Formats: sequence, C-alpha cells, structure tokens
Amino acid sequence: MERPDDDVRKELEELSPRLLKLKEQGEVFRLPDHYFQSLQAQVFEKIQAEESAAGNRQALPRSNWFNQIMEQFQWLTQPRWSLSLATVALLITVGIGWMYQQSQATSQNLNTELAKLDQQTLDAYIQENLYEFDTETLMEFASKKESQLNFEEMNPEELDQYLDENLQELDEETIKELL
Amino acid sequence: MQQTKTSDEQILGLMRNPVTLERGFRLLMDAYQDRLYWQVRRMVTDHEDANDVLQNALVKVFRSITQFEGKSGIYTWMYRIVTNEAITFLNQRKRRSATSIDDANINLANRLHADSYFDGDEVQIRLQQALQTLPERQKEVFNLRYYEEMSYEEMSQLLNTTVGSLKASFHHAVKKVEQFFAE
Repeated sequence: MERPDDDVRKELEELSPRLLKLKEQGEVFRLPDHYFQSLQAQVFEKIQAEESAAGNRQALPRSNWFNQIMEQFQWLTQPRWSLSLATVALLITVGIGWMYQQSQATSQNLNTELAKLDQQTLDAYIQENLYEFDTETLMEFASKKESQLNFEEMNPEELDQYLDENLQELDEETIKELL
Repeated sequence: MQQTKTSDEQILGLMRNPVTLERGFRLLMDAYQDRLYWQVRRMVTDHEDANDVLQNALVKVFRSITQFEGKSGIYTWMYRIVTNEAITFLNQRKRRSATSIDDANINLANRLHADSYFDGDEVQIRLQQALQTLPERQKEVFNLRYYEEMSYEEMSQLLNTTVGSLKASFHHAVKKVEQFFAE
C-alpha cells in the first residue's frame, strides 16, 4: 500500500477522505515490461524515418511544369512592362487616397448638417430608434441633455413634468432647489 | 527525482554539439522520460496513445533543442511540449468522436474495462470519468498534486502560476470530483 507524501495526505484528509483512500490503493495504470528501455530506440527510429523522408523530398527534381510556367511570366521582368505595372500601381494608390479624403469630407459635411437640426427633431428621432443605440451612447446623451437643462427658464408645467420623470434620481437638495 | 542543474547544463552542452547530440539526448530521456510518460498517461489514460504522444513530443524536443534559451529549467520546457502534444491529441479525439459528455464517459469506461494496462475497479473508473469532466488546467493541477505529489512551490515554477491560485485550483478540482461521485 502506498503512503502519500505527508503534505498531500493531510490535504486530502481535510478535503476528501474518499480520494485519499483511492490514492492509497496504489497505481492503477500499468505499462508493458521494459517499456522505457525500448522507448529510446523507438524515438530514434522515428527521428531517422523523418530525416529520410525529408532527404527524399529535397532530392526530387523540380518538375517540368514549373519551369514552363516561369518561362511564361519572364516577360514581366522586361523594363517596359515592369515600368507600366509600376505606373498602374501608383495610380491605384493615389485613387484610394483620394477616395478616402472624399469620405472624410462627407463625414464632416454630415456633422455640419446634423448640427443644424433642432433638439426637438433629434429627440424625436432618438425616441423612435431607441433600440439602435447602445446603452453607453444613451447614457452619454442623457447626461448631456441633463447638463443642458436650464431650470430657471422652465415654466411650472415643464418643471412638474421633469420632476415626475426624474424624481427617483434626484437628490433632496436638487428637489428643494427646483421647488 | 530531480536532475541537478549542473547535470542539465552538461546534457545541454552535449546536445548542442552535433557530435555528441545523440548521447546527450539519450541522457535527457534517461533523466525525464519516466515523469513525462506518466504526465501524458494521466491525461490520455491509454498506454498506446500515451506512447504515441510521448514519442511525438520527444522528437519535437530533439528537433528544437537549439531553440531552448534556458530561461526555465529543461524539464519545465519539455513538460510544456509534452503537455501541449497531449492536449492536441485529446482535442483531435474529441473532434473525431463528436460525442456528448455522457457518451464520452461511457466510452472511457468501456475503454478502461477493455484495457489490459488498467487495474482499477469500478470506483477507480468513476474517478477517471470525474477527471475527464475537469477543465484542462484544473486536471493538470490535480494530476500533479494528487498523483505526482508535487509541492505547490515546484508546481508554481513549472506552471508559472502563484501558489495561491494553484491551491484554489486543486481544491476546486477535488470538490468537483466529490460532486461527480455524489451524482
């Protein structure tokens, strides 16, 4: 019967006497006799087999089809054609850069147009499309909206409505100020 | 069984010289093959599978010894190669069989019943089934503590994790095994 290391035994006694008992039954997995003596030979056989296979692959001559394809594309290395290709590549790069700048300008125009819309229109749009906005954006919007409120300019009806909607979030001091 | 640092250095020196590479590798295997084998065997349970996985891992060790930088001990480095090879094998087996957890447990029980290199009774088979349900890392910690009786300090260096988290991991693993037995 095996005696586990003292530390491990004490730990298992506290955590799981069942597992300690199972452990004391001894090793349940066996292996073939002289396994480790033969393991080294098997590993070296595997290494040699891989090296032989790798050596065979390297010795294979390049096939004819490969040479034929390379001959077909040799014209690409001619100066006249390689210069033409370089010019085309340059034009494509410039085109992509110009299109990017256009999209940036469009984005700026969009922001300018949005700024012209009144708050009521913006509010209505947001209410109708609430589910398209993520929570973070909504909270940001709500906090901005709140900071824009000018209570002094609100009429009593507007004030009542605001209090009804936000009473739970407001602290005592703010409520007193509003009243 | 701990190979001393000086011996590790001697082995590495032999392996970095093409003339003495084979001799060095044989010494390396002599030193660590036993521990590495059992690490793999506990993960894959079957001897033939463990043999295949270990051989593949040792070939990788042989091929990549020049890349070993010596930042960790050589056993730690080999241990990681062997463990990764075993995990790859297990993942491939799972993908091939595409079975549910219940079926996997039944398959394991059947395999162990038929395995001439497994001497355990039904309770031991149930333990192996319980271990199969643990996450890989937790199973790894459990095997090292329960079967290898490794200290948490040594495990911490081997797995590059704190002693505290290893203790927690082992305790959770034991709890899950107990719950499995209670089902």
